[in-house]
Amino acid sequence: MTFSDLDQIGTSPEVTDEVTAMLRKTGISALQEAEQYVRKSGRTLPEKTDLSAEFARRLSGYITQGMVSLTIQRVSVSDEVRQSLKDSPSPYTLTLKKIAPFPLPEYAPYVNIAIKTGAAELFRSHAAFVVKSVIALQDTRITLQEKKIKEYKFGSLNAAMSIYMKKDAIKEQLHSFNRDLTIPGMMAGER
Amino acid sequence: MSYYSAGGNRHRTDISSILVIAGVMILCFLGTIPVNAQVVKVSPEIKVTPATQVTSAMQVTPAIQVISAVQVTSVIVPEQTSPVANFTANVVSGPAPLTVQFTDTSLNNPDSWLWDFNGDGRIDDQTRNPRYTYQQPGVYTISLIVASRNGKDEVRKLSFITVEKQVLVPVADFSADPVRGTTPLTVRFTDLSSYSPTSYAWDFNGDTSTDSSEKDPIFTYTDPGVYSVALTVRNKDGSDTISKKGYILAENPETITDTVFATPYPVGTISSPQPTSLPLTSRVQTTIPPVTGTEETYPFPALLIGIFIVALLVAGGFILKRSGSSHGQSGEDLHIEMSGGIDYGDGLLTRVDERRHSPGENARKQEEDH
Repeated sequence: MTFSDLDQIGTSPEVTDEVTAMLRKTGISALQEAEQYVRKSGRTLPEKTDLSAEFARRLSGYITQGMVSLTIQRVSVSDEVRQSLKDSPSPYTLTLKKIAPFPLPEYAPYVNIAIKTGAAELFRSHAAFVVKSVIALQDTRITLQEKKIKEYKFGSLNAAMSIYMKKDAIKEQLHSFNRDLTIPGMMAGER
Repeated sequence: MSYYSAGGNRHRTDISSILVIAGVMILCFLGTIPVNAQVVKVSPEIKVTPATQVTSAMQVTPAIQVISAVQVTSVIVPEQTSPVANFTANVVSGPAPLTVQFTDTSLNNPDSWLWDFNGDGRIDDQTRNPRYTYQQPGVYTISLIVASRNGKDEVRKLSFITVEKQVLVPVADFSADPVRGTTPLTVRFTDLSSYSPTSYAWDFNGDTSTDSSEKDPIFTYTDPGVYSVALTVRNKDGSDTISKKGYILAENPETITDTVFATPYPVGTISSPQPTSLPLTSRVQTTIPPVTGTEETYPFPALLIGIFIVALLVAGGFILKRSGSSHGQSGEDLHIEMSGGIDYGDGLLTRVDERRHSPGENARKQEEDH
């Protein structure tokens, strides 16, 4: 799998729910400042523009993508997978029944907001986060061919995740959750 | 197997001891026990001594004299710096809601923490020194899992936190309507107590006997007089009593009819079997009861309302003016651009995703990327 393949991974709807709940519960200063700027400018935005919803959608996408990338990396280097690599020209599938919960390295998704009129930038803000998570997998199916991993499918993926606001060296916890996640395009049984 | 000692005594050897010794020697030979390992001995050592040659007719070849077996119960290997989980709490018991500050005291520098504050098996926090508030009474088991690249460890402290029920003693209070009138005077009493009393005891005439146990009773005073009223409320956590002296004034209708237009109501002319004989102006009570029919009008609220309306009008005009002028302004509308990415820290998978907000632009950008 290449990085561009990961770009095609959909955003987990459960992560979107949690991020939306997080934004309702906790104000993100970059987002609030942007909304305040629009209000004070007296100008209008394109119809149906919802800054919060777009922010949540984008952040959820980055969180999902980071989690999946690191999970795949972790699974790929496991003993079970390495021992299963063989020079087979035809694809074959390896099923990992149950992988004990493992922590992912921290990663930092970030979102930039720019308000422009024409080509002129009037306002810019930046929000950076840190995500810590512990992942538990069941029935992970990996398709290999010629010692290369071609496809990942998760049977079930459970994530215990904490999201922090990153301000210089300080991390302020915003939200935590522990639930089963679905990753569109990567679940076994999807058509 | 048996052998003969120097004194000619026959000794039996213990087969199991020989097997243990052989096993230890084999393990040492195979190197499964590191050379710097420390073997924990729980019984005296084996002493190997050459046997003394017996001068009697029986030739005894040198043999191993086994005094007692070594029992290896554990092998301590050099420390691998795996984390050792442990924690403390600033408080372990108290009434709900109870806020507890947990402090990680794990050894060997873990870099991740998974806390379960209520023993349900679900992770509640992943910070090092979290704070948690228990809302419900109960006894809670706390688990902490710590991990580092050298391994992980878990500590579970059973029944570690005890949260007691919140004690809520009720606070008695009441109102009455009307508090003054001519006999027969029917008064409706309303309970205003807090913290959910479960029983009520009303005394409508200050004789310390309970006249009603209803929450919001109605009582009719048939005799003119000034009456004290008391209410005692109770719940499972305790009770409280409030007494309002001289609270109800039941007036003689004949007296009022004779003098209402001529003179002010005479003080001290109320007669009843149990009057408190308190002049109206010196009535002792803990609260000021509402007096019906005697409301006085004050100019102050009307002034406030007027100022508020003016402020609304001014603000409204200002807003209208601004929106009108903004429509009159020329220039392009605003549009939003959102971008972002993920910093993995090691730089291996960093990527920035630049996309415009409008759907049309998104589609064009995706086509360019592919």
